[in-house]
Amino acid sequence: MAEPLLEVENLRTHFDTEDGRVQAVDGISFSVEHGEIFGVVGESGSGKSVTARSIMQLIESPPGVINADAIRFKGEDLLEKSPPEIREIRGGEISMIFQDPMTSLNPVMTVGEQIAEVARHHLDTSESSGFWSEMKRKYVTGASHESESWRRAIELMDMVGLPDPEQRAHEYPHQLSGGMRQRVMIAQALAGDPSLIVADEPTTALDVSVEAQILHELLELRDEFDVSVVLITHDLGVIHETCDRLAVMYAGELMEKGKTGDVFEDPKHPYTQALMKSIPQITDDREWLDVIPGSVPDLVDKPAGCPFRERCEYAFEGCTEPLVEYDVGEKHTAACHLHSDEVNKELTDRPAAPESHEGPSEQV
Amino acid sequence: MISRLINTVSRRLTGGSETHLFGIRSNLLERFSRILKRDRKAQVGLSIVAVVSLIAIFAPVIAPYDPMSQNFPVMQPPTFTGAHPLGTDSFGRDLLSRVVFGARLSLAVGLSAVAFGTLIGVPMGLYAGYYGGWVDDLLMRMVDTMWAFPALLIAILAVAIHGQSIWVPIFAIGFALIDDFARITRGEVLSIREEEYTLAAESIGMGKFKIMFEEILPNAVAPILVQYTVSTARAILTEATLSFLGIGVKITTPTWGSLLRQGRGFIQQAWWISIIPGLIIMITVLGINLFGDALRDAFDVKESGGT
Amino acid sequence: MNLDEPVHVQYINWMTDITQGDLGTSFFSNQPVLEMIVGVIEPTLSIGTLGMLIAVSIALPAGIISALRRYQPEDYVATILAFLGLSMPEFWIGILLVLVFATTPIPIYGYTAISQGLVSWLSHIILPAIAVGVPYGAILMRMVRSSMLEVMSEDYVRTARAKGLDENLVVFKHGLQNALIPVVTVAGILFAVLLGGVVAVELVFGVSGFGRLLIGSIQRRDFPVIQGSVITISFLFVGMNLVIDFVYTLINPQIRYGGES
Repeated sequence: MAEPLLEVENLRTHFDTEDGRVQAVDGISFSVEHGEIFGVVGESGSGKSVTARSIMQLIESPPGVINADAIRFKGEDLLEKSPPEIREIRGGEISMIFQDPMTSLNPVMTVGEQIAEVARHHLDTSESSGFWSEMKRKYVTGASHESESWRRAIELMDMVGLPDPEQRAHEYPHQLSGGMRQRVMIAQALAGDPSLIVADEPTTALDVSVEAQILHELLELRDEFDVSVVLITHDLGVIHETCDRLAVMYAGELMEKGKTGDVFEDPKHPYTQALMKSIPQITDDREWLDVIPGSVPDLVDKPAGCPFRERCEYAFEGCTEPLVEYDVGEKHTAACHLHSDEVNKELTDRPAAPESHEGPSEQV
Repeated sequence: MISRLINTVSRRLTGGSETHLFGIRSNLLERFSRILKRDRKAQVGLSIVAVVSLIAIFAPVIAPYDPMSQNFPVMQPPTFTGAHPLGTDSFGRDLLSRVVFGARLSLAVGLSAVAFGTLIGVPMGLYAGYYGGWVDDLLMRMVDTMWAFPALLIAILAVAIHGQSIWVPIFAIGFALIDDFARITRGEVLSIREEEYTLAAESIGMGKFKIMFEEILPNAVAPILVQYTVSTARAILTEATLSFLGIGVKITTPTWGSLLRQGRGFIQQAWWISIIPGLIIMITVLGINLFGDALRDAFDVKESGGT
Repeated sequence: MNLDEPVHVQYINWMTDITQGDLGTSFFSNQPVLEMIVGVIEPTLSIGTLGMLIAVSIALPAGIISALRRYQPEDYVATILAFLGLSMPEFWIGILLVLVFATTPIPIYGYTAISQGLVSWLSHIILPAIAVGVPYGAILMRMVRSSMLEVMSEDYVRTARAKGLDENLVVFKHGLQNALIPVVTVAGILFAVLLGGVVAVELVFGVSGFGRLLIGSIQRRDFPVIQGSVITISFLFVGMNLVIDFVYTLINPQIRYGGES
C-alpha cells in the first residue's frame, strides 16, 4: 500500500493562558489517504479546529505551542520545515477553507485578486510575486486583468460554479451572497493546485440548501482535481454524506476512528454511541432526543485518563488509566478501556461492553 | 430619580450584595482593582491623579504664599530649595504657590467642562438610541452640527460676547464635548437595547423612562467613564491652550494655562515661568491618560480616538 | 452698515455679501476682511499641512511597529513616547523647541513666504510644524496601533497566512488598508483640534498668520474680522471633511459600492 498523504502522529497543541495551560489537542494520531475525504467530528471546544490549524502551523505563538512526534506530509515531516518551506506548502500543497466566508475574505480586495494571488505565489506564472511588485499591484497599478493568474482565477470561479465569473471577479466580497463567497473560498483553496484541502466547518455559516450544494461541489472537485480533503465539522449528517473515513474527537482526544459506514452502523465508543443517539432520525418515535448528561470537561490542567468518564454510563475504575486505542474492527479503533482484553475477559458474564447503539438505554 | 440612578450605578460599581433584577456587566470596580494589581501603567496613572488631586484639595495648606501676592523679587530662577523653590514670575509672585493653586482651578475647569458635556450629551445619546426614529434623527443631526464647532470657535464667540472669565473655557470645552458623549452613549444604547434583560424589562411592562435610566444607563457606564477620564485630560490641555491665547480665563485667574500665558513674553529671559507650569500639565495629563487607558483595558472598551 | 434695517434684512444682506466674497471691513484698519484673511492664511495652512504630514509620518510606522511587536521593547518605547506626546500642549512643545533651537541656525521667529524660496520657507515652518505635529502624531499612533491589532486578529488575515503569503505581504497587502479605514475618520476629527494648535503655536514663534490676526482682533474687539475668521474656520473644517470623505471612499470599497447591491 502506498504511504498515506498525511500522517499525524501524537499531536499535542496547548495554549498558555492566565488561568493555566489549556491542552486543546491531547495526543491524537490519524492519517489521510490519497483522494480520500476524511472527516473529523466533535462538539465545539473538542479541539478539531485547533487540529486543522496545527497541521497548517497557523497557531499563534505565544500563546499556542504545537508538539507532535511527526506531522508527515508526502513522507516529509512538516515540523522540520523552515518558515519559507512551510509557506510554500500553505496554499500550494495544503490549503484551507474557513468557516465564515464573510469574515475570511478580505473586504477591500476584489475576489478575483484574492484567488489570483494564490496562483501567482504557487504556480509557475510569468508574473513576479515579490513584495514590491505585489505592493505596486495593490496600491498603484491594480491587478492586471490580462495576466495568467487572473485568467486562472476566472477559470477556477467558473469551475466552482460561480455564475458570470468575468464580472464577479471584479467584485468585492460584500457584493456576493454567502454561498458565492464560500465558492470563492473554495476556488482560492484550489488555486495553488494543492493535494490536500483542510475544510474547517465549511458549511456551518451557510443556509441548509446552500450547504448541500457546497458539499456536492466538494465531492465533485475531489475527483476533478484529485485532492484529498480533511473535513472538520460538528455535524454528523455532513460526515455521513461526504466522508470515506472519520475520526470522533472529544476534549482534545480521538475517541474513535474508522470507515464512515462501520462507525455509523456499529459505533464502539460510548461517546460515539451517545452522539449518534442525539441526532434526530426520520424513523424516530422518541418523544425526546437523548442528550448527553453533564458538560465537556475543563481543558485547563486536564487529568489523565478518559476525558469522557464523568459523563459515561459505563465508567469504571479503569477509566483513569491513560487512553489506549484498541482495534475493534478492520481499520476501526476505539479509545475505550472497555475494549481491552482483560476487561472483556472479566466481563464475559456481565452485560458486556457496548456493542451496538441500541444497546445501552435498554440495558439500564 | 437621580438618587436612584446613583444607587444603581454604585451598586453595579461596587458589586454590592444586592444584585439587580436583570443586571449584567457585573462589578466594574473589581475588574479595575484586578488591573491595578498587575498593570504598571494603571499604578503610575492612579498615583499621579491621586497626588495632583490632593494638592488641589489642600492647596491653601500646601502653598507657601498667597498666589496673588507680589512682594518678592522679580523673575528669580528656581532653586528647588529655599524660599522660592520654583522661582518667581515677572510680577514677583511665588511660582510654587501659583502652580499649587493652579492645580485647583485647572482641575476644576477640566472636570466641570466634562461634567457639562456629559450631562447634556449622555441624555441626548440615551434618548436618541432608545427611541430611535425621528427623535434619533433630530438629536443626532444636532450632534453632527455641534461637531463643526470646536472648542476654539466657541471660545472665540464666548469671549467676543461675554469677555474673559472662568466660565468661558468651561462652556467652550464642555459644549465641544457634547457630541462625543452623545455618540458613545447612543452606540452603547443601541446594543444594550437588544439585550435580553432590556427586552425582559419591556415585556413586564416597565416604563420607558425607568428602563432607560435603570436598565440601560447603568450598563452603559463603562465606556462613558472611560470617555470621561480621557476627556478630562483633553479638557485640561484645551484650557491651557485657550487661556494661553487669551480667550479663556482672565489673566489674573491662576490656572496653569494663564500661568503659561504670563510666561509668553519672557521665554528667553525667564524660561521657568513657561516651562514649569507646562511640565506640571504634562505630568497631570499623562497621569489621567494612563489612568483612562487602564480603565479602558479593565472594562474592555474599544479605542475610539475621540478628541 | 444699515443698522436701521430689521434684523432679518440685515441677515439676508450679510449672507448675500458673504456669498459674493464680501466679509465686511475691519473696524480697526478699514481693510476688507477677506483680503486680510487671505493675506495671513498661507503660514497657517503651511504649518498645519506640514504638521499633519509629520503627524502621519510618525504615526504610521510607529503604530504599525508597535502593533506587530506588541508587548516587546519597541512597543513599550513607542507607547511611552506616545503618552508623553499626547500629554503636552502643542504650544508648550513650541516653547521647548524655541529654547532648544535658540542658538542654532534654524530660525525660531517669523515666517517667509514660499515664494521667497523653498528652503527658507521650510526652515521657518519646520519647528512650528513639529510642535503641532507631535501631539497629533501621538494620538494617531495609538489609533493605528489598536486598529492594526484588531485587523491582525481578523479571519481574513489568517486566510492570507493560510495562502502561504509571507508576513510582510500579510501585513502590508492584506492588513494595512483595512487598518487605515477607522484611522482616516479620526484624522479628520483631529484636524479641527490641530487648527487650534496652530493658532497657539503661531504666537510662540511670532508667525504673522491667521492665529495672530484672530487673537489680535479679539483683543481689539474688531467684530467683522472675528466674524470673518469664524466663517473661515468653518470653511476649512467643511473642506477638510470633504477631503476625508473622499479618502474614505477611496480606501473602503464597501462605501464605494454600497448603493449598488
